[in-house]
Amino acid sequence: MAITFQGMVSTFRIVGTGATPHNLFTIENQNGSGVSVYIRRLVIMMDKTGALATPSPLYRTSRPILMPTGGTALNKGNMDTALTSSAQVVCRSATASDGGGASAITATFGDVLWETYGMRVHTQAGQVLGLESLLIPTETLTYPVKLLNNQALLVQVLAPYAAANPSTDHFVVNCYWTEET
Amino acid sequence: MAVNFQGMVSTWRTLGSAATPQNIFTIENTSGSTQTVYVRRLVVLCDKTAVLTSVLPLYIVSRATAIPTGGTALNKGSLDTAQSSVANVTCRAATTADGAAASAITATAGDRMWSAYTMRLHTAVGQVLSPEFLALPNLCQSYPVKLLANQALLVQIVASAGSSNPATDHLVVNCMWTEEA
Repeated sequence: MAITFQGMVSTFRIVGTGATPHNLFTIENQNGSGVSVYIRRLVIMMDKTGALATPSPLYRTSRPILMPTGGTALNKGNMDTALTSSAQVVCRSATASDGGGASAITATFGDVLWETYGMRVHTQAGQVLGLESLLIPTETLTYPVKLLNNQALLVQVLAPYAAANPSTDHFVVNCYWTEET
Repeated sequence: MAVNFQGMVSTWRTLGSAATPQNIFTIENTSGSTQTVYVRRLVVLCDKTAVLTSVLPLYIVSRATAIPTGGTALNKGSLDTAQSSVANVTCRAATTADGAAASAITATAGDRMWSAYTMRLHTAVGQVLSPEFLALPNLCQSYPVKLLANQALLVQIVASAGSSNPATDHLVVNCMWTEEA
């Protein structure tokens, strides 16, 4: 196999929608790309300024049942500018600018691969850390998630109730992948 | 050996049962399987909204003494859809949906392999972090737990008292494995 592209991308800062589920990010390998996409790292980072004394939402990674639509297509960062990403590889964010209005991604989750909790602020006191939470495990460096043509990966907020995903929650999703033939 | 399947799975959000022990996840390679299962990552995530000033429950991984029954079979996520998991490999959760009623897994712990503490709220103040807690050590990436046919791995909560495992504890187990022959 030949690596034809090594990419990184980061969403804009996305705020909670007050709804659940809330699609945050997708990476897609659309029909006709001529490459397979290998996702090797996928993380979420968050800050939350409102207090939440009930369970945190889960952040869920799955293979969506159909190709996503909507949202905002992101520019793809390139680790080696001698390489070029296929136009059929698309990353979507749920907003078009940091803290901007929602740009809804239409997608329905399928088989779940991994889930994570991040953090919550039970009461507003002391330091608040915004650490990386893994949306797929570190083993994917060796065993990456493979997207064939017409396949995608979806990251979504899954809250126990809608008010647990307020607009005082701020998210960023980062992804690293390779494209190979 | 050929890797015939690379899978990931995540349980539904499981609530504490107020009893101990509580079986929360199994992965099984049932009799007649043509594959050997290599469990390479197993983690527990939790959020807890109530105060607990006594000792935490342990989250214990063991080889079940017999193949488990009951619970809810989970859909197996695939890292490469060109591969198929054998039907003999089953993953079970202890509930049918996020935060839903118990769907009890019947299994008895065997030799204890690894134990983990997670976190508790001694007082309900400030930020609550919910990082991944390793139910198996990182070395299992290279030295995985091997399940031959008719073998299973069990994750269970073992609390010092049933009241230390309340319904305000919210748990998810994630697992990554390969099937090889």
